[in-house]
Amino acid sequence: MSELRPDEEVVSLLAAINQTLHAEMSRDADVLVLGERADEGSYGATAGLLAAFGDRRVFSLPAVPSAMVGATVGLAIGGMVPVAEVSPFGGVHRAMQQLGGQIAAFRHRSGGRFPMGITLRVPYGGPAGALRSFPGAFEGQLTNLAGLKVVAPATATDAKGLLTEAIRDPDPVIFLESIRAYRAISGPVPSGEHRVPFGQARWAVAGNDVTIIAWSYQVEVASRVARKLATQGLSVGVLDLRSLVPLDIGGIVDAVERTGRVLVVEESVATSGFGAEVIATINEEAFYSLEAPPVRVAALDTPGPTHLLEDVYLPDGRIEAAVRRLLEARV
Amino acid sequence: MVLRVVNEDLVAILCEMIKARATSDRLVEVSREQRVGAIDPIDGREAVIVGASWALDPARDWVVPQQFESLGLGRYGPEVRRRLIASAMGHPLGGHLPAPTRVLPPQPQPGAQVAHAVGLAWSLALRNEPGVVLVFFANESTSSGDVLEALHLADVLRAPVISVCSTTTSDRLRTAAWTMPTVTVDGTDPLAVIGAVAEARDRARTGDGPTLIEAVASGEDGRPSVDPLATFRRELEDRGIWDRAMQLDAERTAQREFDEARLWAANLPLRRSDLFDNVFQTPTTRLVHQRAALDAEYGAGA
Repeated sequence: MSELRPDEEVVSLLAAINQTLHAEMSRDADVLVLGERADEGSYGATAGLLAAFGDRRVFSLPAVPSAMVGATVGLAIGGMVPVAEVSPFGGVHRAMQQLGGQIAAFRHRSGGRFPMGITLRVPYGGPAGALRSFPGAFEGQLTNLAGLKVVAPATATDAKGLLTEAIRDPDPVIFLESIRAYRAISGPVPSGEHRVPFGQARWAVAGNDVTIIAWSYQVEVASRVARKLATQGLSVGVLDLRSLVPLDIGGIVDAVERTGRVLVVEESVATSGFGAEVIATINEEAFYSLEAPPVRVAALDTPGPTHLLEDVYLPDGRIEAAVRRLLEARV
Repeated sequence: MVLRVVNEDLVAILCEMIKARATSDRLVEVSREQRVGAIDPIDGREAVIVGASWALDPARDWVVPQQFESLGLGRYGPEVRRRLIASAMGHPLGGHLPAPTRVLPPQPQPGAQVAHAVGLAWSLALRNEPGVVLVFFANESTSSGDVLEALHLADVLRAPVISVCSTTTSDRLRTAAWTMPTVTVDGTDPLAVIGAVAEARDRARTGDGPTLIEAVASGEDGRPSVDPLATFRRELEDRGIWDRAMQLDAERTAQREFDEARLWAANLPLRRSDLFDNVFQTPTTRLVHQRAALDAEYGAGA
C-alpha cells in the first residue's frame, strides 16, 4: 500500500460510513438518521450517533419499512434531510411503492416544488451463509425506478465521498452497502471533508488487454483476479463504476475503446441485472470499438442458495475463466 | 380554542360542498365522453372534506389528499380544484400546486399519502412550527398494510397529524389498539366534522399527538345512502339562511367555475420535453441523450 498522506487514516468501509454520518450531522442540523435499530444500525454503521446528537436527530423506529420510507417524503417536504437505513431483511421490497411510485416521482409530480433530498442506505448481500435469508444484490430493480439515483462504493474512501455527496444531493439517492464489504474492505480515507461526484467511474486497476466493469464489492473480487492474472503476463483493467444512476457513459466508452474486450461482473442475478444495462449501453455507444462480444458474469438465476452452495451461486469463482475466454474470443 | 361558526360560514360551507359535488359530477361525465383519466367521484364525502378543511388554518396547516379530496378544498384557494381538473384531464401541470398552498399534489396509490402526512407532521414538530397536518383516506385503504404501518408510526412518534378516514356503516374501521384517540363522527354532517377536527387540531398543537377520526356515513361499501348536501341544505333552510334562489345561484356559480377551470386547463402549455424537467435537479447524461433524440424526431420545443 502506498504512503498515507498526513490527512488520511486507514479505516474500514463500515467505519468510513459511520464517520461520514457523524460529520454530516455535525455540519447540518437538518440531517436526521432513521432506522430500525438506529442506536447501532445494521452491523454498527450508526454507532455513537444517538449519544452524540440525541433523540431528536437519531430515531429508532418500529419495523415499518414502508411507513419509514414514506415518511421520508414528508420529512423532505418539511425541510429535513433524512438518512434512513432500510432493513436488509426485505425492507426495500416492502417499501417499493413508496420508493418507486412516490420518492422517485415527487419532484416531477410537483413541478420541482417538492424535491426529495433523501438518502436511503441499503445494506445488501448478507454475511456468508445468509443468502438463503437475505435478498442478495438487486440493484437492477432499483435503477429501473426513474427518478432515483443509485450509487455503490467499492472502497472506504468512496464510501465517505459518495455518502457525503448523497446526503447533500437535493435528489433521492440509494446508497448501496455490501455487507460482505463492511469489514473486508479498508483503505485510506481523508479525515476532512471529502466528496466524490456522481456519474464518474474510476480505474481500480489499469490494464490493456481486457476491461472488467464492476461496482461495489465485486470491484475488490475482480481486482484480485486482475492482480493474479498480471503475474501471468495478462493485462486486465478493472473499471469501478461507483455510480449506477447517473451512469458514466463516457467512462464506459473509453474503457471499451481501450481494450475492445469487456466483461461485466455483478453480484446480482444475471437476468435483468444492472450488467444487462451496462452491455446495452456499450452496444448503443461503443459497438464498433468491440473486438469480441461483451459478456457478463453474475449470480445464477436461482433463488438464494444455502451456505454450502454459495460459492457455486456467486460470480466470484467464475471471473478468471471468463476473462481467459474473452481474451481468446473473436468477433 | 373554540371555533365559532357563524351564518356566513354555514352558507360558505354549503356553497363549497355544492362546488365539490358539481365538479365531481362534471368530471365523471367528461371522463366518460373522452375516456380520459377518471378520478374517483366525491361520492357523498363532501361534508367530511369541506368540514375538515374549515377547522384548519390554511396559512399554517397542511392537507394531504389522496386525490378526489382536492375537489372540496376551496378553502385553500381556487388553485387546488383547478389543478385537480387539469390532472383529471391528463395534464402534468395538474400536480404543480404553487407555493404557498399547503396542499400536496394528488397521487395515484390509495393510502400511500398517510405516511407522507406522518413525515410532514414529524418535520413540523422537529422544527417547532405551529401547523398540523390533516390527511384523508377512505375505507378501501383501511386494510392496507401501508396505512396501518403509517398510523402506527404516527402513534409512536406522537406526530401532530390528524388522520380522517371516511367509511360507511357496512365497512367500519377494524381499529387496532392505537394509543392515539380514535374519534367517531357523523360523516354526513360538516359541523360535526368541524368540531372533531378542531379538537384534534388543539390536541396536536399542544403536543398531545395524533388523532384518528372515523367519519361514518350510513351506507354500504363506501357509498353513503344519505346525501349530505340535501341534509345540510334543509338545515340551513330551517334556519332561514338559505333558499331556492341561493341554491340556484350556487349551482350556476359552480358550473361556471368548472367551465372556466376546464378552459384554463385546456389552455395550459404542453410540450413533450416537459417530461424531462424535474426528474432530477440536473439531468443525467442518459436523460440529455433521450431528450435530444426526441427533439431530433419531433423538433425542439414541440
